[in-house]
Amino acid sequence: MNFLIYISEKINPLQSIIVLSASVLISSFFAVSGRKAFKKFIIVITFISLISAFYLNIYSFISAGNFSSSLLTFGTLQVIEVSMILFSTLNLLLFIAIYEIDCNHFIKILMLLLFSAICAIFVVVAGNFILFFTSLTLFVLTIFQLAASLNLNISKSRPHILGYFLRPVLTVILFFFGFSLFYGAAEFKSMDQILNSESISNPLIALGLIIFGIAMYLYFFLFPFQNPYLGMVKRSRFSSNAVIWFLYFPVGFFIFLKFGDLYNYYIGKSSIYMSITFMVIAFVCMLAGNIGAITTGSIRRILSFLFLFFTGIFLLNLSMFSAGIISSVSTKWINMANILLIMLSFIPISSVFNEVEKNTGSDSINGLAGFGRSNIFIVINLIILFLSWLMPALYILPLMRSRMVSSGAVALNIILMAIIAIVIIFLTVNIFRVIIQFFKRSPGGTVQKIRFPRFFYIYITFFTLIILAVSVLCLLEISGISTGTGSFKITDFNL
Amino acid sequence: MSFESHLIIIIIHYISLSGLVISGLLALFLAGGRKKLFFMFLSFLFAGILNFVYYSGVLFFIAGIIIIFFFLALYLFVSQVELFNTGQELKKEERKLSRSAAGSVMSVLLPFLLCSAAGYLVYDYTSDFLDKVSGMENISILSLGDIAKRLLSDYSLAVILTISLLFLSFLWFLIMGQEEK
Amino acid sequence: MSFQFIIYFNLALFLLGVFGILYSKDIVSLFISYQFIIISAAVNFLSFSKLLYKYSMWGVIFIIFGVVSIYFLMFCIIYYIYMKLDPLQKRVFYRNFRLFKITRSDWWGEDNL
Repeated sequence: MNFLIYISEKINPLQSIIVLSASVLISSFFAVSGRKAFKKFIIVITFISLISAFYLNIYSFISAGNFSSSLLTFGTLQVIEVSMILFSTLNLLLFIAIYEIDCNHFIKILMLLLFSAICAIFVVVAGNFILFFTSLTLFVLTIFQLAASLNLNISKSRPHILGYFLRPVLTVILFFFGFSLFYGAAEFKSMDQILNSESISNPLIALGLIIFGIAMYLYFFLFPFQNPYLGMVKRSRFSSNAVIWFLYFPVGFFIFLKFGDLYNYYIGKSSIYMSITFMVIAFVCMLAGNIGAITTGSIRRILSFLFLFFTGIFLLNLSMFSAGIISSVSTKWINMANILLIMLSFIPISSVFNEVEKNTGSDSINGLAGFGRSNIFIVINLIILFLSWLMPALYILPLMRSRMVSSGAVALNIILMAIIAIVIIFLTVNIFRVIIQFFKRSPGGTVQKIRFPRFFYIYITFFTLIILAVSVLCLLEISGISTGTGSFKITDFNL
Repeated sequence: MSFESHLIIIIIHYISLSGLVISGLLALFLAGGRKKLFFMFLSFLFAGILNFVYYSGVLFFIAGIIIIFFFLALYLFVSQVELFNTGQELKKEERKLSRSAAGSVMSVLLPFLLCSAAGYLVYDYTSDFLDKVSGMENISILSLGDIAKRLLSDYSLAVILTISLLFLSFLWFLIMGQEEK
Repeated sequence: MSFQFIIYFNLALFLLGVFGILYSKDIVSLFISYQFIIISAAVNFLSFSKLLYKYSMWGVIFIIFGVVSIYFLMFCIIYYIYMKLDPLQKRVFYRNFRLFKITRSDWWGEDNL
């Protein structure tokens, strides 16, 4: 036992990475096999390694505390982010195990999935720019390899996969250039060096940040550059879309959080014009996402657009910070809450809609007609998950109203409130459009019950219960009732 | 360092910079994949000469291995597409894809204006700071041994990550190389 | 060779790459533009390292990792194009491909290709 603790201290904070790497190593001995027994064995190994990595990630932080070296940084934020990556990978393992088990390259695909999780963890814990950049580039590469492997037999998706991944290549190249500017400013090698330096307001740093901002904008396929993303999601297999939604995008959000402090420094000093710019961009992105979702009848496109809407919320948070409504700490907290909401709601919703598409053979929203009459339990869960998207707005709008005068910029606050109100109205229309479709009469008259596997009910209920629990806690906190969680409050993020 | 060798290095520096720009522009504007590829490779070679000017010639050889593979793959792709394109088909496609004169001018003018505007803004913003910076030329030739020592002592994690990915990519090449069912 | 000349030249090279990305109609031109930006960044690192920081090795190591990983990524993309695309799809990438294409279906209606 002492030996294990000694080893754990030596490899801190890379315990989760080492466990995942061991799993990749074991899988490599079975990589070329196509036998089902070996596939099931590897699924079990991968599952155990992900659970162990999740546990070790939290245990290492509790036992050893914060960790910082020339290459790595490991604090509270990193623990949460690594946990989210591992949780996401666990869900992706489930999807790939269900939908791709008959594929000849199943074990190789699992190895790629684990390696992409390893690269994602490195992106999160990297303190030095070299390690950060290398792990980011290799992460993009493994995601590309995963998407290509998962869509091996779908020829119509291949041009769209290429069109999609040529964009993150540009992102990575722009990062390379941006880091050269950071290096030129004052030989900066890590974010901590910049934040603690007197040269933080160097023009080369500002130029580098602009380039990083453009690179991230392209990485997320925000309006009006969403063409390859929509094309790929429409034509690819569900497991490939799940990799994009629940691994590629979350890592992008974590990169955004990594640069958050630096952006907040410049935004805090900026003029009113920067606030207006952020507001306009956020409004356009979120509105375009909603309009795109309303005007299409394809479920995949609806989900893709709504995902872009939630990505636009990060820009909205920046504009709220620049208008002085929220502090930089709360910007980070709201961003983390947004990522959690996206993962906890989109994972079950997309998996249900994928099953519906498989059963009906069509991606059209008309395929949902009558779904609510035959699968009432699943639909109740879906309604709860959809309505959870409106929760943040119900909290933020009254908060903004209460802080309007104290923050100073009344006109900006009114404009922001109007923006949030408009996009929430559109989001509500989208949500109720889908819910109404659940209870519409199907065109043929008879409704065929879609058979979900039994574990699916437990799987969906798990996410619904988490969201319900968090919602109830938030409501109790807002009402001033004691929740028994001690000094920790979900809604109290140092506004 | 003697004045003559310093002068030679400056001349080589100017030649490689101008060669880089000229071959890059030719690669960008010339039609025909093989010509583009040729000038792209030429611009890469001029960039390699620049490494020597900055006393880091060993970088050219370290990075060049992977870059050569990239150019090989690109050459195979270009050759494959051009091989099955007969002269008549090519002319038919050219006519279909050719833009009107106004379209061609706009397709050059708009990006040019955007880049010029961005360049002017950046120059305006950074010129005060950059004009105050005084560089001091130091001569120190990097050796492979120094780089390897530093890589393995400080950046072994990144090296392990990169090498692991190379091994894993081998599996991916196997997946892509197999026939579809 | 003054420091200011090198920096402004690298900036011009970067803008040339951006111009190429916006102008290019095929994938080879796109990779040429990418190469411009990569070279400008690499020369930035080398010039800063040589003229400002007494040959700090950090910049050189960044170039090694950066160039190797980016070019390997681009190599895998070309490999995928070569191995997996059918001749018609290859022709599209070779003759008529734009990185930034904005169509009506990006924000309105269906995408029925």
